[in-house]
Amino acid sequence: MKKIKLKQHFHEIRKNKDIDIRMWSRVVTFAKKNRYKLYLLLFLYLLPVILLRVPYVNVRLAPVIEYTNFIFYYVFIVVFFGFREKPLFKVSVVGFVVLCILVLLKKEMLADQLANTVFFLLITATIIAIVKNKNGSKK
Amino acid sequence: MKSLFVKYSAFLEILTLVLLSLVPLLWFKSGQVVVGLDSGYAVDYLKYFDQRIYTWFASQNFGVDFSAEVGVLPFNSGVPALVSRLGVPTLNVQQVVFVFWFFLILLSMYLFTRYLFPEPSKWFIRISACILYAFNLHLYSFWLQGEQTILSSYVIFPLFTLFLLKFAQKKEGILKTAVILNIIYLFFGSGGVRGVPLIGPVILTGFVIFLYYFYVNYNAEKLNYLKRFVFLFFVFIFIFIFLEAYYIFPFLASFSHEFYSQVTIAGGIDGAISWSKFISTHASYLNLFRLHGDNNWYDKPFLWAWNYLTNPVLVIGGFALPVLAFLAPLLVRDRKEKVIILFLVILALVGMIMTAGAHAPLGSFYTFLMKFIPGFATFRSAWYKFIPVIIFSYSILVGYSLSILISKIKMNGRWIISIVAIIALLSYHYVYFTSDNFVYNKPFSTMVKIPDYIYDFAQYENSRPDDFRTLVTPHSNLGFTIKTFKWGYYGSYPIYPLITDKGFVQYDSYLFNDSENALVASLYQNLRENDFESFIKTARISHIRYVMVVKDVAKDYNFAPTEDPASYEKIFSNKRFFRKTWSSGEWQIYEIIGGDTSKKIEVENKITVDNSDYSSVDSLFEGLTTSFIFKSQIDAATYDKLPVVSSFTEYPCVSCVLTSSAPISPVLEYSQINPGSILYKLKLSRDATLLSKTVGSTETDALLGMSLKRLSEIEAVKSVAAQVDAARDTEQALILLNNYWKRIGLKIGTDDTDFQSLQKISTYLDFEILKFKDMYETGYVRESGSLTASLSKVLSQMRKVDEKLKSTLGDTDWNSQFIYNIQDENRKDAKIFINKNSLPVDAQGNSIYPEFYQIDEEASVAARIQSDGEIMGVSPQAKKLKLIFNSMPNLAELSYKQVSLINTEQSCQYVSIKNYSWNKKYIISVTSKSDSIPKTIYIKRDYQLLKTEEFTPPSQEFFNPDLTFSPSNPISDVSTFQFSGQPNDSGASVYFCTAVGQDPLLAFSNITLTELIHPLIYSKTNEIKSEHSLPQVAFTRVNPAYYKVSIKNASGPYILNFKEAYSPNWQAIISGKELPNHFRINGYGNAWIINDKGDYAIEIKFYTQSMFYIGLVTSAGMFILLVGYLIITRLRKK
Repeated sequence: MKKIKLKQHFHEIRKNKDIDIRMWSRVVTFAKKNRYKLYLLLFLYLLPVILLRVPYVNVRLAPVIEYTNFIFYYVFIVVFFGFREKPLFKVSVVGFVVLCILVLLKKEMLADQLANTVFFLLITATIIAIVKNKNGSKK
Repeated sequence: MKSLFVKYSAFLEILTLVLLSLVPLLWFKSGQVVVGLDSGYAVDYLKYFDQRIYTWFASQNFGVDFSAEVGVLPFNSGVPALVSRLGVPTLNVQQVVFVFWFFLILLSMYLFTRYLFPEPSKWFIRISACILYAFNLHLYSFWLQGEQTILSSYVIFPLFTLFLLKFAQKKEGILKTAVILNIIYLFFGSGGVRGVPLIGPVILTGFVIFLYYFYVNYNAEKLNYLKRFVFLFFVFIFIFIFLEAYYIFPFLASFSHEFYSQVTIAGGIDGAISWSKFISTHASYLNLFRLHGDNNWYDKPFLWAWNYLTNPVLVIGGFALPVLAFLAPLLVRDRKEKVIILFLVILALVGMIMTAGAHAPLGSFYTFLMKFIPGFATFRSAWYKFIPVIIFSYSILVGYSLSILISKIKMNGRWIISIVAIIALLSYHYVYFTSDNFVYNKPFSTMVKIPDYIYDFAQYENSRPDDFRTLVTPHSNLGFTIKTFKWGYYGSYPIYPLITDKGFVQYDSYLFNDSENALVASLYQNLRENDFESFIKTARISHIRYVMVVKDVAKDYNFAPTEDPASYEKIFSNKRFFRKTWSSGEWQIYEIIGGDTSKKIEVENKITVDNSDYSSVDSLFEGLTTSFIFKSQIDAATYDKLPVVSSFTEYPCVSCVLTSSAPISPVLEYSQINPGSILYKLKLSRDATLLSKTVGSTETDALLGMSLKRLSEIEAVKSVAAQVDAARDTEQALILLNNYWKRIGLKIGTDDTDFQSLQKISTYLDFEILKFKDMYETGYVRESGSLTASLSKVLSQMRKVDEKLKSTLGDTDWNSQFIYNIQDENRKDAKIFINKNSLPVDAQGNSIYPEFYQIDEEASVAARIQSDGEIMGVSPQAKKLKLIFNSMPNLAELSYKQVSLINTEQSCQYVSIKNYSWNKKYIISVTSKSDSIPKTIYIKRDYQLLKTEEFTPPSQEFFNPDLTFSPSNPISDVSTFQFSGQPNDSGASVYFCTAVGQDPLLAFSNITLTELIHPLIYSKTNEIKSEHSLPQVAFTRVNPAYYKVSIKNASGPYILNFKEAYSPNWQAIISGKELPNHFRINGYGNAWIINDKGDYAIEIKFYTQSMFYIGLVTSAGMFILLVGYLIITRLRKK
């Protein structure tokens, strides 16, 4: 079975009105096929939790723990939308709206992490766009 | 109508820009001008410009080398001076200058956007981009100071990008691009060498253009593209060196001196990195996306920027910018436009990485660049230097997105929506249309009304025929040399050079040299102590003939309080020494009676040599009759030629370290590798190697450092005690600690003059004993018998060291006994003196002399001291001298008072210190009389503080002590504390307090309050007569950087003394030959030893001024050449 993107997968599930046990089997199938991505996400999610519990290293690794937070969000979005220019730009633009709401709600810490994610998403999207635009020009 | 609009679109757009550039006129209130902070605006533009065309800036202190400042000339002083010269009234000059720069910023962006989007229909992109570029919050903060170098950097940025882009797109050739870029740089180069950090955005954008178009190009063209860019770079640099020669040449000529100064100011690379981290505190991507992050904006609710951080509408407006900017790549359809849009997006993102500076997550990349790329440290204020890149990209991207979005609206009259959008963009930047934000920190502002007496002062000074310097009083704050006046001035530089070209000496950051600092400090100290004889001597040496009282100084500004001008006014009311020569408003000038009458250039045939460090000037001036040199400031070959008639040496008080300098408190750092770790053995082996390499007092230092390391490991183990075998790990470190303290104990007493080490050992010992005492309370320590035993062993070892320390230092009162190291092979027949001004005084104001002294290890004998301070009976071979005073006068005459603190009331005995002086140190000593009565000592200084926007003085309702000390509680324990004041103190009191209802005298006994003194001991040889006669000297000052001297009847070697600050760039030339043996005299001036006999002329020149002239001619020649080239190419094209 060809690997499918998570978003496409859920789209297919939504189309299928006959929601029954088959849906769960498909989720399981999807999870199996994308298990490495999910392992990576799980690892990134758990890494700060693990690091915080290691004696002697917890204080010095605070920045690393901070990094893993926004890297987790980044990987999650990339896994969900794939390395594609337009969705990543769109997510980033929506990200600004979310950031604005978070700032208005005075959730600066979370907003800071998400802003880092948005920044790296924008870098990714722009590089993809530049590469694509150049390849397009050759055609 | 539409066709008319299309036909005249460019004209209409330029007209709009002209109207927008009138915005600065809204900022100026009647009679007010921008001056202070970093603005660089003068009070008298022409007078200031006349000073700035020289590389030697003579009006500040003893003169300052401005060789690296020439590039600032066109901006800081050139433009306003030109406007002033054109006949614009002084108060309107700045209005013209502001409008001029505003228009140029708009125009440069307009030219760039017109190139990208030339179609008349795309007028909205052009206008909105110009608005966003010229109306932004970063630039606004600099408009508030009218900083012309920043304004010019905003002009150069779009123009440079435009021509680089044209070049990358092969629309311009190599030579033409290099020529145009250089001409642009010549006019808007942001201040020459000093401006390099400001063109950071240009450099960064150049890199991005190069890399982007390198990638976008077809593979076959890449090599050619690379070649073109490399050629462009070299041609640009070649032209640049010649075109900018007017400031490059003088800068290179003074490079070594300049480099030293700059590194000193910046505190080296580490200092630059720390600064970068500070500046980047708020430069998170969250803030950068909305063009925020200026470190000055936060925690200041009174600042104009606060609304942008808190007002929901402005917060939403802030986030609308990145939404619109990053919508552009989604909205763009045209492929050519997409290339540009993606370039701008990547430029914005790269700009963000740089603007974030040392902020996470990529901050370590920035600090890496600072550490390893030579010269990159100049971009230490990342946010300020790189945010124009983001602003520039955003301006076009936002304009583009809005334009596309408006075009999608299917209705007639879309232009109305466009206008509304432009109004919305302007509304978001509403601060540009207000005039109150120049207030820096009320009452201080960069927009002030200059009082009339300052203009009177300018008139008086400019008409004064002589060239003597004036000493400005009161003394500026020592910690923060900001200058403040009650009428609102707040500047990082003194105001006097902005008014007149006469010399004014004041403590400020332009006193680079330690000996200059010592000389200026001595001038003020002499005045404070009413020691007019020494003051006049120091003033003569410094070529100071006048003193000035500035009564409108904001002395109570909490951040930088200064002394009370009234105290100096009182000093100068002594008509025996001072005569008032001018007064207007709050400023007064006095002439020193019997002050300097000498000329700026003199000849001398005798000199005194000071063998000590610069702090010895106070003693040196006792009995000084000649000029002097510090031996450490002169090379041996020159020294041998000097006509030295007297020699002076001040001997260090080695025991004074125990009272004068507060010991450095040990700091425990977090330990990463601890006992129990597999890496611990490696760490120990490294430590052992380090220890084995140390000797003497360095070994003691190393051992103390190691003991602290082990202690930090024990603390680290304690913090994770539940997860490790804490008892075992702690014991491992304790064994080592025991060994260290054993070795430290052995070091005590080996060098009886090394009081610094003894003090350090004592501090570390107290610190560690306290930590170990606390450890007994820790659970796992109590549970482990062997660990408790190890701990007791270490403590017992430390107590042994403590006992040895006490037996070495004894119960001596180190404020009444002083040990000097007087070992001096060159002393021979020199007499030893005590500086009478450094002695304590009794209630009647008479000096108190030591009762006894002890030479080397002999028994102490009654002191024999002559009336001139000579200490009798000290042999030339003596190595150690101990002065013993009976006791210092006790200033504690107690009275009873009950005080109300904010939470409680206390009953106190207090003393108001007689003849209190803020710059003296005082020692309080008390003995505990009872261990059950609470005891506290408070220091209350008498002063007032100015209410500013940032600071509200504490309420006077309660007793607010400035310092609180807690004496030791056990009975008979002696506690001593030290304190000193602030410059704006008018007095101070000490309170010895206990709980209300109890008698403080039952809590304390032996209360003493003494002044901390350090008697100064020096030796001086008798002056021998000079053998040489002096020639006659006359001179003409051609300009501040050039003097012509005429010498007549020179018969032998003599010293030519030139009283401008020493710089290796000063040259004395006889018949075209530069004189060798140039040295620093009197701690600040220039001198040469001259052997030539007869009559002749000497030229004294500041070398970099000649380089400036050569550079100016080169620049002018190159400019004519380049303009000629452009005209010819244009004609050929036609």
